[in-house]
Amino acid sequence: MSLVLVALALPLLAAVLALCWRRQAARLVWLAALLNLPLLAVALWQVVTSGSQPLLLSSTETELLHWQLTPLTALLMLLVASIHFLVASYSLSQWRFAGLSLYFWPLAALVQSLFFVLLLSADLLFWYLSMELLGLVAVALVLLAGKKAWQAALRYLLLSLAGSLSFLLGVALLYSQYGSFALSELTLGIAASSADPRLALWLMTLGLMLKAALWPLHWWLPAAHLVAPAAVSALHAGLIIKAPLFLLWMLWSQLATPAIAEVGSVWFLLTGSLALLAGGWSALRAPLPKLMIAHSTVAQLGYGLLALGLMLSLAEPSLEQAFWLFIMAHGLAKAAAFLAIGEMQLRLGGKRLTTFRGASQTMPLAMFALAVAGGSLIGLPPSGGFLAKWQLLVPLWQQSQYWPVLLVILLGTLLSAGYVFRLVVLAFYRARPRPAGFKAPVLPQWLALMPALLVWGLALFSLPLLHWLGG
Amino acid sequence: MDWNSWLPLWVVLSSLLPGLLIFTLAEDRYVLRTSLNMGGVLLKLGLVGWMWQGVKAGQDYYFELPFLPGAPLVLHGDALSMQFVLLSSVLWCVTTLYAIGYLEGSPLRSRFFGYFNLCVSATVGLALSGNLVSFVLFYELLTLATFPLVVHRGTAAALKAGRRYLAYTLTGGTVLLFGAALLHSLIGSPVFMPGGYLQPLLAEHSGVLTLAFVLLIAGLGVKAALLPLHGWLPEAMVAPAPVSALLHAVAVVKAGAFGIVRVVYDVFGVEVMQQLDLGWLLVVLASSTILYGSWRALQQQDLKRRLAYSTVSQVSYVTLGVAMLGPVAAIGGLVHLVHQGVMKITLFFCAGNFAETLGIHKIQELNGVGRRMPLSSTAFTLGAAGMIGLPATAGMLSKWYLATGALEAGYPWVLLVLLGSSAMNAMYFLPLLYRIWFLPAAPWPQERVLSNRFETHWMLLLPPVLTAALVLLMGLLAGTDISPLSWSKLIVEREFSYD
Amino acid sequence: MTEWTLWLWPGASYALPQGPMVFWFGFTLLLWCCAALYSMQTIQSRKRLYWISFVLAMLGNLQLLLAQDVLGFYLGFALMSLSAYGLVIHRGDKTARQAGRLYLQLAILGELLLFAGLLLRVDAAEGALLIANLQSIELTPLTLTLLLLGLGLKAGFFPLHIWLPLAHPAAPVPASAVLSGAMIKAGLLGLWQFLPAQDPLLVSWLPGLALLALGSALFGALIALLHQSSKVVLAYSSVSQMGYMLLALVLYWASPLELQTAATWLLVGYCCHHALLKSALFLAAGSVNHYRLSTWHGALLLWPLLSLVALPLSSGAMVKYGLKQGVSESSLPALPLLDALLAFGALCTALLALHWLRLAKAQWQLPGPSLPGTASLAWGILVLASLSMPGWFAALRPQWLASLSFSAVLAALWPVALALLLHWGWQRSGWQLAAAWQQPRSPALGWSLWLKAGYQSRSRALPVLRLPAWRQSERWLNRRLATESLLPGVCALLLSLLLLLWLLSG
Repeated sequence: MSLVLVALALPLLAAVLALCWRRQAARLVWLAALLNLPLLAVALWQVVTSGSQPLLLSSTETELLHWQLTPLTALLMLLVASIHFLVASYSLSQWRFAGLSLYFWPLAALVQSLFFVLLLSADLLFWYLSMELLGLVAVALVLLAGKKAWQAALRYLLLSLAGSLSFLLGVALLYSQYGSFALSELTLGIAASSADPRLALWLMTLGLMLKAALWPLHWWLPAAHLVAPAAVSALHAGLIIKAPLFLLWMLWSQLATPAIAEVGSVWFLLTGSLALLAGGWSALRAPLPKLMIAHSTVAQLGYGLLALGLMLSLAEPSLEQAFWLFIMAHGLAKAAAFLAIGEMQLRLGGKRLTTFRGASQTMPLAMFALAVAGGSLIGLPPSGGFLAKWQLLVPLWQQSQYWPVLLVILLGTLLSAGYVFRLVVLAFYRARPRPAGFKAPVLPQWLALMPALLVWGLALFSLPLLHWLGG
Repeated sequence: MDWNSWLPLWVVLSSLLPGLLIFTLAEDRYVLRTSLNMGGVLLKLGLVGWMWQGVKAGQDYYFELPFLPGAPLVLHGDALSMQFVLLSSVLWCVTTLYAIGYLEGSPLRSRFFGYFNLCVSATVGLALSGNLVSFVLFYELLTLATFPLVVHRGTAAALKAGRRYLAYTLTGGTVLLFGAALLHSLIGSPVFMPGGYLQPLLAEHSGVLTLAFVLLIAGLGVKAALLPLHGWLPEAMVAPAPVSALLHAVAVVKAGAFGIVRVVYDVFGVEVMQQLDLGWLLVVLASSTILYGSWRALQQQDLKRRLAYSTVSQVSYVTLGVAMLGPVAAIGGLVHLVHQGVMKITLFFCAGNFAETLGIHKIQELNGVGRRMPLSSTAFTLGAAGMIGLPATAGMLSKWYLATGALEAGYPWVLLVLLGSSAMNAMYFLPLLYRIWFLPAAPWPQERVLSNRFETHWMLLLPPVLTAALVLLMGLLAGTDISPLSWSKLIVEREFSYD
Repeated sequence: MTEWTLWLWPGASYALPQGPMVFWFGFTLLLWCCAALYSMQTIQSRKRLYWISFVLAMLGNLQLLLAQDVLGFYLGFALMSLSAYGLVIHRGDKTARQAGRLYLQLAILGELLLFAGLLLRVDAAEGALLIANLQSIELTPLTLTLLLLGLGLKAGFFPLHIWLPLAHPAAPVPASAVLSGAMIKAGLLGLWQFLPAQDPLLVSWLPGLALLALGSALFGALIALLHQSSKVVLAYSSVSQMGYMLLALVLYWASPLELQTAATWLLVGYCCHHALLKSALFLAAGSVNHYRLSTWHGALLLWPLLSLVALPLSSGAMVKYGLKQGVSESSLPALPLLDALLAFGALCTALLALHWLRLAKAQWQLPGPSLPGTASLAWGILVLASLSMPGWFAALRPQWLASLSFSAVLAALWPVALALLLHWGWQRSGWQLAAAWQQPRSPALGWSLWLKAGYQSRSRALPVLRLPAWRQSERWLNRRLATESLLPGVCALLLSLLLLLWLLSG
């Protein structure tokens, strides 16, 4: 258990050190990320072998901290650390060339720590705090791009604050009704009391949906991704927006009474479907590759909403697995996609789709990374995305009344195939080859490829994974 | 683990590993790349030969890897899969030789041969897949591996064809995945077995089973180019000749047809198909595809495009034979799986030779080629004769079994379809042969001297000559043990003698 | 037969010819050899094409004679028919190409019909592939029609002869000899082998077939009189003679069991007789047309002609007598009519022979190279074989002897005499047919062209693709949605408000 706390503290320490010792900031943060990996792996192994561990930091009667380490949180922490490490490695390999600000490193380290706090705590107040801070860090990261990012960052900041506020309102309401922040106590309280938690729940939902850029509250996301540096986009799409999604799932799965869950199910199914279709279509028609991937994020989160909505009405364990698998696969795939796109835009110079013409010759590895990550987004076997989709499909087929959802998934898959291959096909264009001397460095490309390979590796590792996710 | 259970995996890996290695090679490593290619080819041939021998003797090759809950990744060598494995490894062998000659001196060869090897690995994996989930997996991988080959030339036309190809095949793949998930949700994904495994569900879920069948066939029909889903195939002929050859003869089109065979015999099984009354649907679909493809082929001016429409028509023979649900028709369909592959690959090799050596793309430009390139022209003639179904060629046997099977299975009107298709085949192939052999030569569009001794580069010449010889031998020596006909009979014997 | 046939296609089986088939095989082989001999020095252009086609067609012909199974027969039949296309088209000019096209179209059609017919037969026999196994299976109207058409297209009797008068003259002389002598007999052989005698359905069709046969005999001979090219005349003579052979076949089918052997011998004898004389005549026609001949060639030219008009002592008299005898002994209805038609047919044949002789005479001794020795040898062998046929064809010797009786000689001679008279009168009067009747063009060529237009490739302009109207507005909307715009924000707020209102009210 202490391992986890060490893992939590390490990035924090690295962030502080990086602020003091700026010349070595990059290496420090990278080293912390590297060290975290074995720590978290061991922690995962421990928790898998010996079961969930409560994490009580206070010995007083009124427990301040309701932290808990379950196999799921351990796994998610490992995922966060891996994505963080991969993005950090990529950034380390070429941050000078890319002109990435030095402040990226402490901020990135903070993201990791805050995320760990959020995952470990089962407590509304901590959730609010860590999420609020995470939002601020995210805005700061977007701001790293300089002046051109101000407008997008400002909007992000305002909306993020609005979302947090809405969430806070819900938290306060709940506390006033049930007198606790702890999720477990709230669950009991809601079951026992006659007070109506609906308003609080929906307020929190609204706030979280705004922060997670869930359809229809997503419109700030593409603009923010468009201006942010590649590494930031990767962190943002891969990690940061997953935090509110995690909370959304925890809230609804724990707090919703059957009556509320019924309404919630309809709402999430509806928004999820619309997210898949509208986001997919926007991505298909986006004029810039980064915009495309950003819209794809909006669309892919729709799968999460679908899984949530279905879980609320079906309560199948495989839907839960599907949800977490979506989160993991999407995080890795998006990280790879953004890194690859950033690398190619950097080397080939240009932001438009046409930049990618002939990329399979000039930068084959980066292009391959993008294609492989895209394959997981589409859900091609044997990728993590496929695994998640499979877990979603199989219970769906058993419930014939959900055929519209099946249709939506089919269309969503086709749309995602459409936008991914829109990029990939361009890469095979041969009419305008680069000048003969052009040579892109290989290492950053390999590093961009890593998350993509990992997401395909998930499929090979599927059985234990599904087991830990509560099979 | 004993050696036998690893053999299927090695058969897949024997081209996968060289393929991955080739990706990393620089363009100018000609010798190393060629030796990797040919080494993989020969190794695979050896392994497949051994496995073929074993399967014939009744040996069971079974490899399993955990993949999805309740649906492991299974590689299983049974008689049916060996038919396809043998076809693809033999034809891959000649196509590799052809491709090495064809691409000599052109850019991006490492990328090409890398994907080329991946493509064959996916095909072989697909052939060996032991359950529906593994099949879907390799089916999608095949799509992905072939796409870079289709767009290899990188021209605007190639990219357009590539987009179209993807639009069709990915949609098909998704639909297939949905169908597989539906069946998996009902009964799991057991290993393919003769007679199918859906019998227990028949009483309760007949409607759902019909839906699953429609989904699976729609998904497979894209690659098998069944009627409304064939649009990608004629476009994809912009690819380099070896790719067209491989696409049309082995990899993609056949994967679809083979999948239909699997679904009909080993998932649903003849009895379930009969009780659900699904066979006639497929028969009608295949028949209309046969006639439509031949009809469209007649109207084409471009040589490769005509061949492509001919593929649309010919591949549906396989579906037709399988869909009629009788043993004799099944022999016809299964043997045509091989026969069509060998015949069509010959034709595409020859078309590639004409295009490479003389710059011939249009049918009007073929005049008098027979005297300039006699060996290629002879090979082309044999391939075309096979397609028409003239006696002594392999095509005739397929047609004979299909037709007798149709009568036996109670579809006498299919005879008319076969005759009509043969007549149209004759109508679109014989004028070509007429131009090749009997008309005086006009100046060639773009002649290149590829060899001083032969009519073209020997690597381009040898493959079509070999496959053309095969067309004849498979027809004449059909009674030998190693002929596709005997093997198809063995398959049918095993598929129809369950309980 | 032996172990190795098991390696071949399903059901493959061979047997050495026996009984009457020895003669059939023998005359076929002899014809091919003589044609090859004749070709050796007379074929000067496009040799490769000629010899490849020739050898393949010969192999096909021999294969179909030796095969005992359905697929083997079909293989040989198709190989022969299709390879012969190369022979028909060998000259390469427009007429040859047109004739070749028609020939090929009908050959393919015939193949398909034959394929269907054989298939249905085999299916009725539950998959038995040996020809012998099909004999006990009853015919259906469909199979009978298919087989009659499929094989009849090759045999070339009226009205399936349309390709024959075009293709035979177009081919080089030795090829015409084998086409007329050997190849069209294969169609007849097929009919003989695949249609079981005594089959009730077939028996009921026999009177019609007999009339068809005699109609073909008269039609061919009469049409031949309208033509002025010696090879066309010979081709029509083949149509006419195929009619007689079909009649012999009808007799075989109609004969009761105990007489079947005799009928078989008559059929084979007639085929043998016609094969030898017709190939000799074709060689004669070619030699006369292209070479300067010496006088003794005249004898080679004359003898087959005499055999054709069935002059006593010739093999023609022998088989014609056999035919008459067969007709009168048969149980066919309307006998008197058949007798009369036979007599009229003999007259027509004699007229045809005189007509041909007149045409040949016009070409006789025109300047040209002298006939090569090998060609003379081949021609001579054929004539000799034809001449000596009454000697070695022992099975028909009784008929030959009977044809030497006074009444038979008289019956054989009066048509010839009448024909001489008519011909002489015609020559004297100088009467000519109306021009419209002379050298009538076959309508078949028109049909062939029409068919060709059906599969001839035509280039068509591609339609210009335009962006559909909805794509324009979609593009506009998409720009707004994707970039800075208030629209999604407004949507989101509205939706959220709605949600809140609903929540608060409920």
